Amino acid sequence: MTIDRHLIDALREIAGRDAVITAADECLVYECDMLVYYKGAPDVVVLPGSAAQVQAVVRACLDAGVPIVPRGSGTGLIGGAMAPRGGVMIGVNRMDRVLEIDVQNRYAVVEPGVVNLWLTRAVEARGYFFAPDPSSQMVSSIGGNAATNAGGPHALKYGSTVNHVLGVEVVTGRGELTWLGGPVPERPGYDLTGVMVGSEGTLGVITKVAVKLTRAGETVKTALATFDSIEVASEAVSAIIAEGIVPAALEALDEPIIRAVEAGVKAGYPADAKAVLLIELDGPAAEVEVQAEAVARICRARGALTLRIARDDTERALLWKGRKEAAGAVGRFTHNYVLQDAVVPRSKLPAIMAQVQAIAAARGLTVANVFHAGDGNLHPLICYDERIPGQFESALAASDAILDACIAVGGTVTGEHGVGMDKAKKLALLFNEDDLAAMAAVRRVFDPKGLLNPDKVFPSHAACFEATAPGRGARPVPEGMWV
Amino acid sequence: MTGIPGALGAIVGADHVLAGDAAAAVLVDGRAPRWVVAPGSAEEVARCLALASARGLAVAPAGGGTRRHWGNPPRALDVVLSLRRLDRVLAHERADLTISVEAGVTLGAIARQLGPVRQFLALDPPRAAGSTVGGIIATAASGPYRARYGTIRDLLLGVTVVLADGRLAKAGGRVVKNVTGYDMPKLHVGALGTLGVIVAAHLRLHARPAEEASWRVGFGSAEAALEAALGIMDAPVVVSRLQFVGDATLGVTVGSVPEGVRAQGSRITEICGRGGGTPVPLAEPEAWWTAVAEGTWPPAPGSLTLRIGTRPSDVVKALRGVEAAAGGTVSVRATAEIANGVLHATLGDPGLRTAALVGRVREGLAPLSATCVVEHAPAAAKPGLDVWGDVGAALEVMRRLKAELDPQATLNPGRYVGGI
Repeated sequence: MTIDRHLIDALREIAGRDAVITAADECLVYECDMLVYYKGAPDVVVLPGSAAQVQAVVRACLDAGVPIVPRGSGTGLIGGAMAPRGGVMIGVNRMDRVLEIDVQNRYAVVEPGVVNLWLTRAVEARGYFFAPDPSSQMVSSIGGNAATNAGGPHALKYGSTVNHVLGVEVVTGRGELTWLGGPVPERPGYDLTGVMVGSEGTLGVITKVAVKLTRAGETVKTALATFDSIEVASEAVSAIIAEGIVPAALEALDEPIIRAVEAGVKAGYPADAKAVLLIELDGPAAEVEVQAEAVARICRARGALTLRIARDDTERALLWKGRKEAAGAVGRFTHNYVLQDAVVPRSKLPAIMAQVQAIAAARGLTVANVFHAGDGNLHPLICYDERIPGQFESALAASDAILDACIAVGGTVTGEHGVGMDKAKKLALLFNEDDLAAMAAVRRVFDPKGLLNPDKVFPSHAACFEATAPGRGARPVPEGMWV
Repeated sequence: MTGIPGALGAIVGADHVLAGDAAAAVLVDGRAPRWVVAPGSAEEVARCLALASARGLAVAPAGGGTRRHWGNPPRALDVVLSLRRLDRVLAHERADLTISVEAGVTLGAIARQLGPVRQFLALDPPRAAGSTVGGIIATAASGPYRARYGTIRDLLLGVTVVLADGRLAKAGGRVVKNVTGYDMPKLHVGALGTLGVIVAAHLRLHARPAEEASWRVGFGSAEAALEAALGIMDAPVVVSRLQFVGDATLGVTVGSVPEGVRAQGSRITEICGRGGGTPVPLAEPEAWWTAVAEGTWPPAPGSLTLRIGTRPSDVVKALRGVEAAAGGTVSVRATAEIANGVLHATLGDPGLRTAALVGRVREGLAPLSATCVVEHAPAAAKPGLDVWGDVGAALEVMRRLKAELDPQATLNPGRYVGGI
């Protein structure tokens, strides 16, 4: 779209000349998140330095009727932080100060551009951490984590980002700058924080976040168990949960992933294993000791071939490095892939893993899996080669079939990545018109003009963008992405 | 019956509609409804609400009646909509650690069903056994277990509500991780039924620890008790409860494997010892904890019950503020979920001076940025009282939300924040 000169002048006035990017080639950097099928460069990128500047930018855009797209570090996987209609993107990366840390009362207040891992680094010497740990945590911003309600391996025990956000300061789609919630508990009134978190920038631009800090456990033990197949490994996962043990993390990786990881990171996964489980227990030492024995017993009873426990922090860190960089290593064995993020009730894991394999095989495709098994949160990567005609379409069809299968057993459309443009049409698999109308009512409360991150989340907007996707000649999901 | 009661009877069966004196016995803050209706299914709830909104009736949803008088007095009240007949457990997915229930199921019924398999719904608000799931969602009532397990906000996976106009809307799901669309279930948590009538919910369960032990620890002063509590919070121990009780006592619960209970018990003993406290194991912990809970709720008829939210390290300062406001003329009893910064203060009958007293308490708490909600006040004092306190600038957003989802103010008019 064409942006009025007066608006650009106003944005420069608000944020400073060096904080406003208008050159088309520079705006191109912001045309997609890490799901690169969905492309849409903003016409202008503004990098404000304060909440007041964000408010002024939003107000100027609202007055001009121009779409506003908030963006953190751009590590999303959903076609979220990109501008299908053009307009003004607000990058929050310059708002990167930790404003308050109160370890005694277990909270911190940060600006949205603070990188997830920085906060843990700032409090770990005191024995605390920021629990949400998306695999992108060394890069992704806390504002972005909040906007997408990011998960991560340790969401199993500690919950997703929403369980750790005490309040947010936001600029709404009416230009109001207001705190919702805050560090002090038991605030009267609707839990607007709860609905703002995970709203993917469609209800407001987050300008500050108050988050919980979590006391680190006395001990942590990380075990690696190997199995004959991902289905057998999944049975062990279901058995562990059914026994009432909720590890800090319980991750699964299958053969293609293991090989790719070992070829690159060399995490110490047995290269001939067909599947591994990465099982982390944390908490009081005496409890972890007993639970580790129980987990080992369950794994062996369920067919584990080997099980070893990391001897020290270095080995433990390496096991995790393999997991966190697993998806980025996939480029070693496939030209392209489609990534799915679905959830099933965890007792359904073994059955669904068999179905995932069958669905891919029926289309002559291979599938690789690296996922949050304890939560029942699958991330099948359906491999294809775009140079082979029809394969991309087959891969998409397989991905859709997997999602349908998950929903059929009581699962959901997305567990932690979010909706964005990618899954806007899929909401209807789960929600009927009345369910969605209630969400749309919430949208109107915060953004009556529909200018905040348009075309994301809601199915009604998705259809018109089919023509722009998929793009060709690029990996649908780039190397160095995290799931 | 004809007219409105006839129409309601046609939906739910005439046996399930009360009118006249029988209805008037179900008071909401001293106000009698014209009818009490008890639908038998979500669909019947939907039809009742469609009727109510078409006829411009004001509706108050009701669960177990354990917190019926929370909120401001209703601005209007025609129908009390009882959810008690929606009392079925729809599914207990034992291996998934989830349960799906209708809104009228009580926490007591859930506990009875889960006990034999050593799972539980980790909520222990006062009068838990008689509280319904719908009521707990609507009030966000919690208890000492929130130190470890959080509140209903953390345990609610999905919800089905009937909107004010009678449409059914579901949100969330039954899996433990879900970001499909807005997190709508959160909007109904603590909303006092003003955005929809909760008819069913999916909840996260926990496994019972192999062993659970509780201690009572007396200290020389409230300050010493707080210091010890902050020390426990800062130690790598996992407490299930960490409760300030009475003048200078802590109640502590640890749940773990037997070895873990012993090891953490020693650590807690050491921390408390530094402050001059010696933990005494509770022989009958459930009775003790029930007594603690019932010290705050249900209230004596003339008493004033406050729920104060503050930083954990400010809990005693907040209590001193309440005592100062009471000025020695009114007795103050307190208990607090210290790790969460939630202080419950019960004040003896302040009579008609209630509003002024609450005002003084809030003034005293302002420097701490603490919140103060009145859970109970003498009935005569309520009309002049803002039970919720200041909500700040977000009130405007809340008003718009109410206007979008319940434009006719059918549901609990006037009872919520800012007179919503």
